[in-house]
Amino acid sequence: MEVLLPGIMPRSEGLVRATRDFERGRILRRELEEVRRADAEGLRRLQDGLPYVSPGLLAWGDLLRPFAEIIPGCAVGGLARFFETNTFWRTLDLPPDAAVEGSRLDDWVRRYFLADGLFKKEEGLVFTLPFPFVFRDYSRGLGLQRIAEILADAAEPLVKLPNKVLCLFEPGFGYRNFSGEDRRVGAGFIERLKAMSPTPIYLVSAFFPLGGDGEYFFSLPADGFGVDLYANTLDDVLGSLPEGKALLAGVLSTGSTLVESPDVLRGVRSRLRGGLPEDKIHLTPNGPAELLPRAVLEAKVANLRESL
Amino acid sequence: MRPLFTHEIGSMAKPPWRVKPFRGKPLDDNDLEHAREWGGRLGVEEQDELLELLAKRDGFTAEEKDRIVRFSSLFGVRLQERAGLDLVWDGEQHRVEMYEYPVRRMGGFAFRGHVRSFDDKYYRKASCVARPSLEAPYHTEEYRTIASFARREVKIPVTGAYTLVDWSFDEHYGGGVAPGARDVGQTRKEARARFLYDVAGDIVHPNLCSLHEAGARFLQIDEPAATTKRDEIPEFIEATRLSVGDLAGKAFFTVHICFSNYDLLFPRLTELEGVLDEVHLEYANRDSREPGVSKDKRIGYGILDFLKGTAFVVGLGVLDVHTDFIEPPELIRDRILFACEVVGDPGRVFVAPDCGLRTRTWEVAFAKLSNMVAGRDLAAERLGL
Repeated sequence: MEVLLPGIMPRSEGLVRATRDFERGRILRRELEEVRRADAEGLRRLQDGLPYVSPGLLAWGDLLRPFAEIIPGCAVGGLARFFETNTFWRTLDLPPDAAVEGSRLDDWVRRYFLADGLFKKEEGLVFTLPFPFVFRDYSRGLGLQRIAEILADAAEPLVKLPNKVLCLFEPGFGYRNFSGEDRRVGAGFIERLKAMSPTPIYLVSAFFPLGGDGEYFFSLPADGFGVDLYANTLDDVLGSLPEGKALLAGVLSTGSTLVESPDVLRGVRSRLRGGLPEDKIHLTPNGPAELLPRAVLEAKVANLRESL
Repeated sequence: MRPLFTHEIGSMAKPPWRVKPFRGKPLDDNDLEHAREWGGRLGVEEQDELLELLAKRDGFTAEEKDRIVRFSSLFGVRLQERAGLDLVWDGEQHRVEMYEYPVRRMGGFAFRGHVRSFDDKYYRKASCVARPSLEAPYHTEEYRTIASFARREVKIPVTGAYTLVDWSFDEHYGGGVAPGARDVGQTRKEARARFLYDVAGDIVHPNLCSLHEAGARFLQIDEPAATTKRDEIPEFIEATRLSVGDLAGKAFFTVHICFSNYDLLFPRLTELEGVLDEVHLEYANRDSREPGVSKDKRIGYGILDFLKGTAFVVGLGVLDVHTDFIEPPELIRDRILFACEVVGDPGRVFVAPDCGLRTRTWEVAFAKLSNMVAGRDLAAERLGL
């Protein structure tokens, strides 16, 4: 049982300030990058000793934006509310012949997934990509099948790196109505990734009461499932999780700055142990970690690690 | 009010000579030139007095800073008047912004740090740590100041209860919820409703009452967060009803919502007929920039189909506030004509930007607003108004 931090991590107050200063011409790009690097190092310290470390994705505008750099003709468009939050993503406008340009992938992986070389290809890392459904929600121009193909092409160099886990983030479960064809494409996408390498593939939901579309969610061929324990009871989750699959248990609330006490977390951990083998349990935030201020996330993670 | 009445929606940028003294930074020649240039362009009558004040450049006293705020408020109002708007305010010159300003003036909140809004834009987010309380209404003096020099009708925006709650963390009402516990979802929902109704009744309503008592007749409830959570529209409706309360019908109430999934609002929003007068939404952000009045050109205005059968005045966002693109009057005209055609009554269409223009320079904001009025005039002419 270990802590796992998928997705974009919150920026520190210092990085928020540096980003603003850069935008207003008060500091140089080199100075901004120095602060960003220090921030990523702080994240590494927070996760020191974990088998899979999040590189933080601190340069990401949102979970789709980096794709604009590997798809020729892709334009970054208007703002759209990111699901049930006060965060906004920008939609991507994709040309009809959109495709990943393979020659750009090495630099892309280095910049966006390895924090410009601060994290090494060989070390244990957790990567996050959008699932095709959420990519479709925040883009225009392509159907789901084509989006899944693009995502798979982008994911290939990531899953082929050793010692990684790949989280596919999808907040649309229980929110959108997926057609039979959508469901087929979703399952096919995961199968294609699994055929590429043995890297574990985890499907991570957020804010999703399982009653909505839980049966389909758990039927997908992922190796593990991320579930919000502030939207679901543990009994329901343990009763629905397919045998042999891992649970990414969303025990840290991204909707509250109240830091969960080690005692409360020990109680959840104990109940989890009663229902699942230790190696099938990961403890995570219940939604995107960047919804919290950085200091709060750090305090929550510290308590969570203390509870283990 | 005439058909195609025009108004701004929220914030505008603050001039550098308003910002720097509060950051303890000295003014430079460019800042003084900004005051001189815009004072001249806007015909601000006390411009010399401002320039004399700003000549100090640094070390402003609290009283001098108050005067600077008053001047930036005056400039904001004059900018909107000069652009030709029918209904004006000062573009948030008194406030830090729409969330932090009110939250700092109520009890029960503590700020916890920055979280991202979009791109590299962050806002400081507070957490509710005790039942919210109001020591004194926080917008009434602002209204009195603006009304003292405005030459047109004045509108005052007030951040709505739902947005205040949604943009805050909660450590008080839902603090005891343990992950995975029995009824965790329902417990959380009930806690959030208590939080929301307390803010509506104890914070927003007294502010609106105070503004009304001071003479304000155009009151805008800003609820950009209204549709954030798919299953909380009933709570948003109830909070709005509690916020307006017995003031319904005594002032012109607008609700402003933006960058949201508007489908979620309907048909429940009609429960606020008789409580709210105008529903203002953002449209231009989702629209094409091609002129024309056909549906395939006006792709951002589909939600009008839901509004046409209601009793609400349609607040029509015709300016994209997140780009420096200056919408030509002809494009604005066509957006208005399309809306009038759908709604069927120009008297039920008011014209405004999508949202506040605070991320644009004054140069851009003024050009956009001026074109908005020009576009309105073109539409009025076409409609024979």
